[in-house]
Amino acid sequence: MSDRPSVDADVLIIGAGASGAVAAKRLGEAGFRVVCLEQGTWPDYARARAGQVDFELTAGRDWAWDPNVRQAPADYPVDESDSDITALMYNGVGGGTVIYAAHWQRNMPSDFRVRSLDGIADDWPLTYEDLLPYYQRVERDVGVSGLGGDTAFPQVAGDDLPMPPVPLGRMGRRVADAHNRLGWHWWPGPNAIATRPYRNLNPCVQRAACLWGCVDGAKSSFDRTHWPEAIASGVRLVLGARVRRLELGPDGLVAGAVYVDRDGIEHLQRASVVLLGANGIGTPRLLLASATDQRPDGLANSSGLVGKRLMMHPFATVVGLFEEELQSWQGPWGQHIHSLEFYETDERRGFVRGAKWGLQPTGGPVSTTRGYPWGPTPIWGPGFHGEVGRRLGRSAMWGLIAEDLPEESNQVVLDPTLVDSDGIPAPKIVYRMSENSRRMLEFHTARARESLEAAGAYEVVIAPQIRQTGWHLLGTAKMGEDPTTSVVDGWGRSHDIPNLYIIDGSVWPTSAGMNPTATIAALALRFTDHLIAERRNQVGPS
Amino acid sequence: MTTSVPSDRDRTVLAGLADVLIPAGAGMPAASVAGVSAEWLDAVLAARPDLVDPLLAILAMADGLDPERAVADLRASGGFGVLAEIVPNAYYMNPAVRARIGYPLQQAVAIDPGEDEDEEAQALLASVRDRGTIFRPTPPQ
Repeated sequence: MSDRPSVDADVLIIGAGASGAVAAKRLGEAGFRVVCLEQGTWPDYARARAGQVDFELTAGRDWAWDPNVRQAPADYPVDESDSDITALMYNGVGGGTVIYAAHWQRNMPSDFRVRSLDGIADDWPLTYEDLLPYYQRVERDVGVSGLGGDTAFPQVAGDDLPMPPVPLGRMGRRVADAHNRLGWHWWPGPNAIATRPYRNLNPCVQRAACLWGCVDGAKSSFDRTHWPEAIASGVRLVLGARVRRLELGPDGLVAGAVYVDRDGIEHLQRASVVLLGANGIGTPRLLLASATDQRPDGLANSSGLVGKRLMMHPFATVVGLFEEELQSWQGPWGQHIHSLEFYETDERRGFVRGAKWGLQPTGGPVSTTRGYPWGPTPIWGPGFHGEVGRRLGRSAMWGLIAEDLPEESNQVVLDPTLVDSDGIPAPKIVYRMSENSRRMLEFHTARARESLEAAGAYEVVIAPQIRQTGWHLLGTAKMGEDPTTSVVDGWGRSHDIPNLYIIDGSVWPTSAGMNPTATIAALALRFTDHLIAERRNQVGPS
Repeated sequence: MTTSVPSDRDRTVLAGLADVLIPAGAGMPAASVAGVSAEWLDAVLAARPDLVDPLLAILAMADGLDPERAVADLRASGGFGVLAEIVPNAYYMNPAVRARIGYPLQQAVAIDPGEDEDEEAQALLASVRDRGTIFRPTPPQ
């Protein structure tokens, strides 16, 4: 281990993604000495090629969502051989927000009261109303565009977003009008995309490239919205720092983290408090990999729930083909509109909970040739040009995010043989889609077909289920009040180790059916505010 | 990679395969005519040098076979994905091809400052507001 002096810190944050960025910025503002260890580096936007002839060619390599495909130096392998869905992530400053679609969805009130309202799973140890002020604050930090007054949420005076929404566009108008005729909910899409100059964000120029690195600096990824201010406030961001294990002191408190730099040298970073924000796969991986003789099941795991209850949101897409030219390779991607018409439970449908819909573009000509989302309809051969002509620019797509329920059999464990480039055990995910999820997707894809047909689609394609859809990594370190049935309390603090906090999506007791970044960020802000307020009562290593 | 890779023979084999995927029709040129095995292949491989070896492997497999048969074999053997990545990307790199399908690449289109406020959007939203809220509130403790 290196004997280089390691800067002691009040707070050590592991992971520079959304939750780590929020915590770092807030703690820096409050004057804490903060160190953040990030295994990756800054995103290289020089590789973002939107608007260039090789955009569709290079996007799948340089901005691949699956770390097993991307295989960048910062990535670690994930064994997905026993999973219906693969885990998607970005390992670097900004985390998954670098490649997210920026759909900015608050959870609905019922998402925090699943047990009370639907008699299943769990309630969260907080309510929508508890989180509302944090949503509002973080939406201003992030820079969110949209329109207040959405009828799917409580109507609160002044609960507006800082920028107006992205345009409905031709496809949005068509579908909005159809939903009005059907009597179904829709609303201009809330997006973490600038529609005006906003702090250091440029206004979106609608290249439909959000998922592959925003070259225009318009998407609110947290490397842009939070880290520059955090660093300016004195937060020390250490790049290329892959954490091998958390170090536990003789007092039972976490003393810091051992990490490996890119020269292969190990360091011990000490801190009074450790915040873990490595996503729903990386966080349980690290806790399990930190097992000791005294704690053979890993740290913070007296409940036995670390790694259990993995939720990844089964995902479906439904595409409509239209006679009208919609220029559907342009626009935010991003969502023009969303619909929460079928979000709440109606048990007559044969399942509980629901899904959120977001209306999106469909991409350029090469995208029209791919099996996803276009399914098995033949494209190659004599009909090629006609089929491309039907799809390109004349299609609109609903993306459906289905809530999956927490099941202990769906989990993250340490792979017995697979390791990353530093010899650290790799995670293995075990995930099977439930019957409730299958019924939910069947119902929602059928309704989405009706939506697009009502909008004038002459043909609707329901995309085949594919595995590469695990955008949202949730639930593997459950939050709750009872230490026997949860890993952390309602403030993100470990029941077992009171100077260890988990601040990412791992703590979600249930998954909701929303894109999760809004709630991950709001929760991280709430946890951090509480940590700051309670600083005098916070125990630390001796 | 050297300047001789892919070779002229490789390019000939690729041209045959590419034309199976993208033949002429509907006023559009066949893949080989559009340069898929020539300058646009070079552009693809310059951007994605990781595709060179997989391409050469499938071309070696296809060499000497009828192109239709070779494509069918590639589908069965799992090599088709490389072909399906290279051929359309090379095809649509050709600006004349893009012009014929009316695809100008993704353009920078500024958001009209007044677009979100337009009367049509507000009229559409009036119906949603009239239907009222649709969420279940937080139940009392």
